[in-house]
Amino acid sequence: MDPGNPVDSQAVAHRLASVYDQPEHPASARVVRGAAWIAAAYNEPGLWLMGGALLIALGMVTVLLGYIAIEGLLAFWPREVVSLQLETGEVVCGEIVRSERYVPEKQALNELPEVLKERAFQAIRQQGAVRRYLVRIGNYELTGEHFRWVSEFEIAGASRNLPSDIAVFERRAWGRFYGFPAAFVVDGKIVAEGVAQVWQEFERAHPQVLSLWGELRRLERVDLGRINRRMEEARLSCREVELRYGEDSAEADEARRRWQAEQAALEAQAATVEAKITKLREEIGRWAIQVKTADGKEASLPVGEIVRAYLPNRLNWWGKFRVYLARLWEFVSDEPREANSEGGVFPAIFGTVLMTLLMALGVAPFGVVAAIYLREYAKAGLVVSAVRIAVNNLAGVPSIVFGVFGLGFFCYTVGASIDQLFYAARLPSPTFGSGGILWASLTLALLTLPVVIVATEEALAAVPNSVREGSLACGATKWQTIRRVVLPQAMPGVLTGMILAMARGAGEVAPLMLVGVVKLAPELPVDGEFPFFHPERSFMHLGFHIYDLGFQSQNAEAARPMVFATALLLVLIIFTLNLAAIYLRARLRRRFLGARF
Amino acid sequence: MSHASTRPPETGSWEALQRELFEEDLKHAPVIHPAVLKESPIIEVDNFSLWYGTKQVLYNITMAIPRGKVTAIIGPSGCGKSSLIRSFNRMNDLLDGVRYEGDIRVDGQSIFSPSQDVIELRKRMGMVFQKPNPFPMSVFENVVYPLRIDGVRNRAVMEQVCRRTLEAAALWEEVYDRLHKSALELSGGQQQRLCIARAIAGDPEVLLLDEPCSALDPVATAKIEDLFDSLAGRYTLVIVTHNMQQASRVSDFTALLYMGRLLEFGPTVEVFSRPKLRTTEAYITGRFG
Ligand SMILES: Nc1ncnc2c1ncn2[C@@H]1O[C@H](COP(=O)(O)OP(=O)(O)OP(=O)(O)O)[C@@H](O)[C@H]1O
Ligand SMILES: [Mg+2]
Repeated sequence: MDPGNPVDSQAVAHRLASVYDQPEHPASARVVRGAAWIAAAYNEPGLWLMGGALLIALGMVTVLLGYIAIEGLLAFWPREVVSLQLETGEVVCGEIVRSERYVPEKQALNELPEVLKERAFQAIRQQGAVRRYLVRIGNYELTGEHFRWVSEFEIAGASRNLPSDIAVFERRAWGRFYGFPAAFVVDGKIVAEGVAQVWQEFERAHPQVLSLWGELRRLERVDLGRINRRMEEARLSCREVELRYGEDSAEADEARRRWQAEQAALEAQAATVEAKITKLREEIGRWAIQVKTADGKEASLPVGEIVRAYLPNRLNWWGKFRVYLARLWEFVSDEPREANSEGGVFPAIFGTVLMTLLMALGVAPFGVVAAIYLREYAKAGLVVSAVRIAVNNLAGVPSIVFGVFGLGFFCYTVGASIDQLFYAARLPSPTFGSGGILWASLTLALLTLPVVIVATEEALAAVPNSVREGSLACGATKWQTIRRVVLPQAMPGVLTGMILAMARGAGEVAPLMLVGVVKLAPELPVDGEFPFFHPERSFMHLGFHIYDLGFQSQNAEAARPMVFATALLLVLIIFTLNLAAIYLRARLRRRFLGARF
Repeated sequence: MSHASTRPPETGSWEALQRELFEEDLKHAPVIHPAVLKESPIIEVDNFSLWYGTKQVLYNITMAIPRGKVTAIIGPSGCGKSSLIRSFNRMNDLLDGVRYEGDIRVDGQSIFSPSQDVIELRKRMGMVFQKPNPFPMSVFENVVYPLRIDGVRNRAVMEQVCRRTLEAAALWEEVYDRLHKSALELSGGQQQRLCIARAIAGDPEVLLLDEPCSALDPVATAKIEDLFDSLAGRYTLVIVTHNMQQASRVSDFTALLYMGRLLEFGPTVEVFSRPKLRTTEAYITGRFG
């Protein structure tokens, strides 16, 4: 700028003036009154962009979570049962699950009977499409279907009625049954007829039968289970002797003889238990309820097979709520039945929580130690930088790769060696040599290691050097300084890393499918059987459960609400675990950092 | 530096005069008053030079810190005061690329000899830093930290030490009812006194204080200065300070460092009233830089 040139200096002055004028730019005066934040964001395109992006992201998350929450919470609400009289004379009776509008295919339309065709065409002419309902018709043994689509035009006079006498039976097998209670049978003799009497009898007998059934389950699982385990132990101890002394040795002969004797004794025990079971079965089989379906068929339902029954169209709001609560409680506390599409998910909840906690236990020491070494001990240089980059890249490796590694390393290498050393008698069936909750936890620990290392390193770096110097100047060694001063101060940051790791690990499914998650685990990894914790057992996991229900289920429609409920549960569990960690972190912060700063 | 050297020497300015004075003084430096030599030394610095990487920050320092006395180290910012006292307890070891020549002896023992245990050395020298650095623990735990790392477990001993040192640091009255609250809730001045209490809890022989009052208000400063008075005699104190009044008030001896060199070292009264070098006079009267 040449000050001697008047034109130039004028231009500069003008430009300066325009810059200074900016805050009072006329456009900003037009900003709507009261919307101060708009004024604040005026002339800040970046702010709009960031705000908008945040809004979109939040919106999507809210919609997704809201959808899952609503669908998941409504999954257990008992619906009314409708009875639909069709033009063809059929009666369809069941719960309407959802409805949609659709345009039937040409061929399907042409194949319709004359009466229906006329009505269908009319509907399409008037509304452009046909409404149809998905009805859960149940009664699988009679109909061969669980669900059925019914189009509006099929329904005679578009009439729906809600028969007040209809009952819903949730059964242990074959899904739901919809029908009118006709008679209550004890020992083959009809003891009650008419809905009111039958229902009264049923409600009296049902709890009793349920407790008998519980007894039966206990005998089957606990008593028979124990005998089977003893048999297995006897076989194993015999096999051990065989392995030690050779199969032809005198000791082996002796052991075999002992085994046979024990086996015989155990078989006798098993026989008595089985006799009890047979008796119980007969006892339970004494009660039955005779039901007439809406289309006039008759069926006899053994009361022992019924999990829950209610008269849906007679329930008031409170009655429905009770059914809802019962189902919800069953969902979180019981085992699944009917290929996971009914019942509860307790084993999956248990597996998910246990695995996540084990993972946290596994990843914390390794991650923290690695980070301490990297940050506090290792001399900064090429090697450390390379390690750091490698760790960060590890976070980007697809999780299935970790699954493959876990399978190859933990199960097939470490596990197989453990089997060779300690469980040789059981071979060829693997103990630790196949997937289990321990290997799954360790695989996930590996997967989440980078998160913990990076977070811990950052937390350590955030501890001011002055504090380290203060401790060293007191004559503390480096390790004392780290343990007593640096780590406590870094602890909240470490916990943040753990929170991130747990959130990531608890929701992971792909690697677990390779290292121990199963569709249906016969036993929990923790039970009353010595040594109480069985790290080699495979387990169920909510994430995998969702996948299994949603994509592998035979009865996809029935599993649908369960998918949402399970997803909601998984989200809630991860949320709870995180909340616990956040609470811990807040407490640590309060303890170490005080209110100041 | 290179920038300054390429410039033609200016004449007639105050800066030029100052540089001239300094160069003249350097020929005589270091000027060590005879009174210092009569004292029994606890720390002897012998022709000590220090480099951070390739940058030399201390040049052939030779001085003896008198035992049981308060020695102030003064000098303009960046002249190497911190570097010097951090060398006494080998805190500079923690930095990368530090190199030194010459020797420092404590009680006649070279602190750089391989047989010297650094931990032991640091336990003999408490250090207080410019910025208070309390640990993220309770007041009590802060004070007894030196005992904890020594493995002391006796609660009674720790409580006794805690009380004694907090009283010595003029802090007991203010914190006796919150000993088990976080030390980070104390005010800055309280935190600094807490750091002093912590430094003397390990029962050191020497206290190294690097501008201990620079972050404090006059009242807190006064309290800490009183504290120095009461500590003098029991401990040997080495105080780095920018505050001339403070140096004259609390110290028995004063050393002036200038650009990494020791210029003048003598009894505080003499250095302040009859400085032998004109640079010293200029510095302590504030007609400097
Ligand atoms: N870690 C370091 N690495 C490199 N140079 C350093 C380092 N610490 C200090 N220096 C340099 O060494 C010189 C002396 O620093 P020192 O901290 O000893 O000065 P000082 O006299 O304590 O200054 P002040 O009064 O400002 O604290 C300064 O020029 C400084 O830039
Ligand atoms: Mg300094």
